Amino acid sequence: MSSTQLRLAYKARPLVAVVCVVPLLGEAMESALDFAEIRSFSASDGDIAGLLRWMRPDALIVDNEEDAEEAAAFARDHELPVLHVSVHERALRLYRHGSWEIIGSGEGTTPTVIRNVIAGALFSREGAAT
Amino acid sequence: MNRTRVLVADPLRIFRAGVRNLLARESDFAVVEAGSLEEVLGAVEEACPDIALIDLELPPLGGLAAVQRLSERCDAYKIVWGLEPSPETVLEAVRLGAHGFLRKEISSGGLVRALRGVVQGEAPLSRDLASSMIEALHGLDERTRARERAAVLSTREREVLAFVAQGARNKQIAATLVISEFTVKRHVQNILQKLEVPSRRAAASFYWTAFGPEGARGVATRIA
Repeated sequence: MSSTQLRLAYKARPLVAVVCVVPLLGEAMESALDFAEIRSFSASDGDIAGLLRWMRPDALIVDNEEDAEEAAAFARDHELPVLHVSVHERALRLYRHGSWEIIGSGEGTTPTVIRNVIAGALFSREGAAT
Repeated sequence: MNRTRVLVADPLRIFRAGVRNLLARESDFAVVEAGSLEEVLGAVEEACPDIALIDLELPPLGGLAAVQRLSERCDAYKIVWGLEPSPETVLEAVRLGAHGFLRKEISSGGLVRALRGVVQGEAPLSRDLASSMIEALHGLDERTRARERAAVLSTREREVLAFVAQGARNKQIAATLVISEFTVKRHVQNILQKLEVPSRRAAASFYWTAFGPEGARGVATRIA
């Protein structure tokens, strides 16, 4: 496989990083985002900006406030969509184009809604890049 | 091969999906899902699971009520799980019949090991919860002993002691209970004697151990 083919194959499956305090969230994302390559990391590892700088994912999912804010600072400069899944508040918020947008609450934290939000964010990001 | 049937009772689909996806990779588990107590009882009606993993906040009455209701209907091992549970909650869950308590922050591998352990008769308890539960148990013992000691007090003496615990002076207690200051003084002397404590401050401390803040709450608003 040539490097171009390899890159095309890679791009066929967007890379989504999941950084979470609750590891089961990563498990849920693997089944919900079956169109993407999922890489899960423990939130306790810290330095989320460093992780994003080296990993260069197409989207990021976090489940805690601190990581969400740290990631937003990086995302602002790199047009990276960040989805904050708050399991405590049962709410979703999406960071893109420099600001946070509340997606929903209660039933909003379902795998289906998360899949739709991430797919939408990836699609619009891809559209903006081409 | 007989699979271990795990009922995942959690209002958040994301947690149910997480457990389902995790256990789907293992050949020895089968997962059933429920999002509320009603769905739990419906699932149990069909077949009793081997293990029920019950969310602490399962609607409508919470996970502890679900443990009780489930205990009445089938012999499943009941494991409660939650985010940041207090030691008292863990203790209460065990007292009501839960076989274990896990934090939702548990690792994927940790959850699989815990569930396998349950089938082999182990009681899963997140490590930090075990020590805080023992502390809560000690606190409960102390409270029980203090309450037994408090049984020697008359109703009026206990009432006076509640005021003393709130820092009320004899004059205030007398005015609130509409009795003479002399009578309050006599009650306080009797309390110290019966409880075998040396001072008013020690009596107040005893009250807090026996009844805690909830015992004194009603009294605080009544002080004249």
